[in-house]
Amino acid sequence: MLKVLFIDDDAYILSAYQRMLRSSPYQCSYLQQPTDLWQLLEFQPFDIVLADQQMPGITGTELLWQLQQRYPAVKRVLISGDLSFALKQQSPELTLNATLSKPCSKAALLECLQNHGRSDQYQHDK
Amino acid sequence: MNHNTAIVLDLRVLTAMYGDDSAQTITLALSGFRREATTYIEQLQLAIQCNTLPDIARFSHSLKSMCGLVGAGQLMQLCQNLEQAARQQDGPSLARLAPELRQIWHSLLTALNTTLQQYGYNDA
Repeated sequence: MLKVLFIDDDAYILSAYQRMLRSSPYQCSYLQQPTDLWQLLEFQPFDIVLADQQMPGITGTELLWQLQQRYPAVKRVLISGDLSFALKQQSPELTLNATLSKPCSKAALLECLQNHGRSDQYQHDK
Repeated sequence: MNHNTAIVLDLRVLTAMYGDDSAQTITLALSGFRREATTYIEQLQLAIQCNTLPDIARFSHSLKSMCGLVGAGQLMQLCQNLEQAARQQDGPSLARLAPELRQIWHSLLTALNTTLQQYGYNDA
């Protein structure tokens, strides 16, 4: 089962994702404090992390860049209300597996997770 | 974009976003939005009074995303305009937009309360 982590400083947005994905075949977790990510990853592995861009103290692109360096196997998805602006802020070495426009619909989230779950399955079958 | 032509509250947006038109999802989404947005509105109004542009941008940005999830088109558009004006340090635009926040929020709150009542949501 794909293990998914959402990171957003806004509790309402996280609760919306939780509601949308409550019946999905994914094991989803939700994190409001981006600085807690590293402690969480020590105890709980994730296959994919979806991070909001605008958060207090750190941007999503910076957080995902640090994730790429420390946990390169974890897939990285950026969620932003202004993707073109967000992508201008990113480190040139950051590679993202996907981007999503905010606000995200249930359909968009499921399509994104399905795409990455499918590629994981392909790698398992190799 | 002119926020005055946007719809105050469009449930079709909410049900499309959530992929779910059940009364439970609608009332959970709207009651949660009403609670959280009230706090953001207060913070935004204070930021406008104090003219703290980074806070105006931050609160407008967060509120804009929340509005987008539930179909609060008019407030979403106003927040988009406020955020842009704050980021561009456009004082005249902020002075023009800020007074509309109270009236637009009042209209949205009325629509939220009416809709929640229609779906049988009990505030007590």
